[in-house]
Amino acid sequence: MESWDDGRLIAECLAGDQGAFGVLVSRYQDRLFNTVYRVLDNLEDAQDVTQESFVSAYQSLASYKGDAQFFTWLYRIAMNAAISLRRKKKATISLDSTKGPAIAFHPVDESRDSQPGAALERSESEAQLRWALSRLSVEHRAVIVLKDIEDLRYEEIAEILKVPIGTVRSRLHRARLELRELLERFEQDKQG
Amino acid sequence: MLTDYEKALICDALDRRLTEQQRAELRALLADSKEARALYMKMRADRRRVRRLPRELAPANMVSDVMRQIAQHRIIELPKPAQRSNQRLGAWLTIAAAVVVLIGLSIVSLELGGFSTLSSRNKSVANLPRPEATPPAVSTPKEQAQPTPPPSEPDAPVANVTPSPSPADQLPTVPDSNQLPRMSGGESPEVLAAPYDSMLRLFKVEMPKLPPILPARELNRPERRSELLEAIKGQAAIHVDVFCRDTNPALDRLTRLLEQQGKLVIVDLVAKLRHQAKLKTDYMLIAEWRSPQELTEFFASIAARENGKNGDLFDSVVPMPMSPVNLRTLAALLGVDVKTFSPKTAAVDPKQSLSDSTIQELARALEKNGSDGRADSRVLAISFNPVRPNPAQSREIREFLSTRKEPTVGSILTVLLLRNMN
Repeated sequence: MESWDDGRLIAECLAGDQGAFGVLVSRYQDRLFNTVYRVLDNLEDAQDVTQESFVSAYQSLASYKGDAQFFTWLYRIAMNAAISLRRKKKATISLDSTKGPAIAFHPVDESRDSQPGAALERSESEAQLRWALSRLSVEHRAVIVLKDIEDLRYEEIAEILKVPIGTVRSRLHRARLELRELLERFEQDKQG
Repeated sequence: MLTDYEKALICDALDRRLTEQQRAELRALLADSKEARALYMKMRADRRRVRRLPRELAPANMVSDVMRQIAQHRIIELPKPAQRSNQRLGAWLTIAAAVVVLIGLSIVSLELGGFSTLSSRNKSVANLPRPEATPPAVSTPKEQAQPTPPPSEPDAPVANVTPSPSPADQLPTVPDSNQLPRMSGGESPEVLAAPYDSMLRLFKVEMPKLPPILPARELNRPERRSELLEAIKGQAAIHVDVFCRDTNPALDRLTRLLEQQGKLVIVDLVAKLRHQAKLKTDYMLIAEWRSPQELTEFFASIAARENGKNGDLFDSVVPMPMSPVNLRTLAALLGVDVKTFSPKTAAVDPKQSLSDSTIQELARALEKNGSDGRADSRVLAISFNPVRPNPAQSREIREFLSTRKEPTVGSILTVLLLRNMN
């Protein structure tokens, strides 16, 4: 069953074989989890959202139209959930967002990677980048993650985020420029 | 200071989405502007850094957690795949058992009836005035065959029968009562010797009318066509079991044949996915034909194809009238009310003469098509076993139902059930 393609596994799921869905979860869990984690920057939230996304996908499997690839459809569910959660949490995070990068270097969330001990384990470069990414809006972060980490095509990103390709392109431009500015500011603060 | 266009050009360059002209513009920009060169190099570096971020793996218990959650909440009700076929098998077994019981009863009744007639005649013989017990001087083989009473039952009416020329002699030979199998209830032979009641009639056993089993290869022969026509004649809706060696190529072939008849086959997504994956599936096709003749033509085309190259896909065809149970099943499979598929009958008052306009309309219709040409030309194919869950969510089913024409008088709603034989 592990070697079956997605279409065959979905058909088996719809025929009542839950085990086939287990194979799909196993197949996409790491990729989906990493994407959601990079968008949310919080391990617990990423775990919850990934899990909910799989359950939600199973729930609406009968309505899966088959015109998009399964993983694109799954990503859409996960990204919707992640963006919604991020927007809900925005209020608490934004309290610190106006502060300078040196202060905001320790993120306000309680993710594992934000803890001092864990942060030390990461390279400084990575920590800078994570800080800068965490300062981007969730929409901008999503396009960077989908494009630069997941290496998806513009068309796939447009399908996942349900936006036109032109919007993907413009969001990506703005997100990259904003990321560059944030990293620049961080480097200036560090030097100063 | 770089313009927005120049910045966009640099961003696009990272994803290699530049046209030939844009590439030339970028080259010129990078050659001329130090700021542009710096931004380009930094953005490329940023991109590499983003790509090098470590990949986080999902927690080890992700699969089990998801599956537990699915199992606990019973999120969607998926029907058991074998349930429907078991129900159908159960129905067939019930019918078979009923037939066997009826045949058995009729045989027993015939036996008992014959025996009770015989016994009553014996009784009438026994009731004749008894002559004095004189041992028979000579007994013929026929007389020897008469039942003799057991010694323990001296008062039994048959016991003292003296063989004499009587109508009983015309009866077939009756074995000795000692040799008859003993009745479990211990009833006395009088029970079996009850007088014949002329009012008692043996009930007539009529064999149930079983649907014909027609070999698929022979459906283009005249005698088989007649049989098929006979089975579907006068029916507004029929159900046809089509036994296939493999339903997946069989569905392909039926689709092509239907399309040759000018029909459009709409395949539900679940059926499509199962078909693409070549999974073992029983398919149901819901179609409408204008007349029984048109339907027999279709089956003849199946037979013709079967006898040609790469034939041997279909085994046999079992047509039967659509029962209320079939209709309910169909409605449940499509998630609609059973009335949706209830056959329509002509509500015509035979005493009332047709109006002139009706006659003209009818004439026009006959001129055009020779018959009512409004039968639905679309065919819906769905998965029957396993059953497609949540039919209301199927785009194809919704499309088929929403644009389905009302069945017309004379047309035949046909459900073709492609069953796997293996």
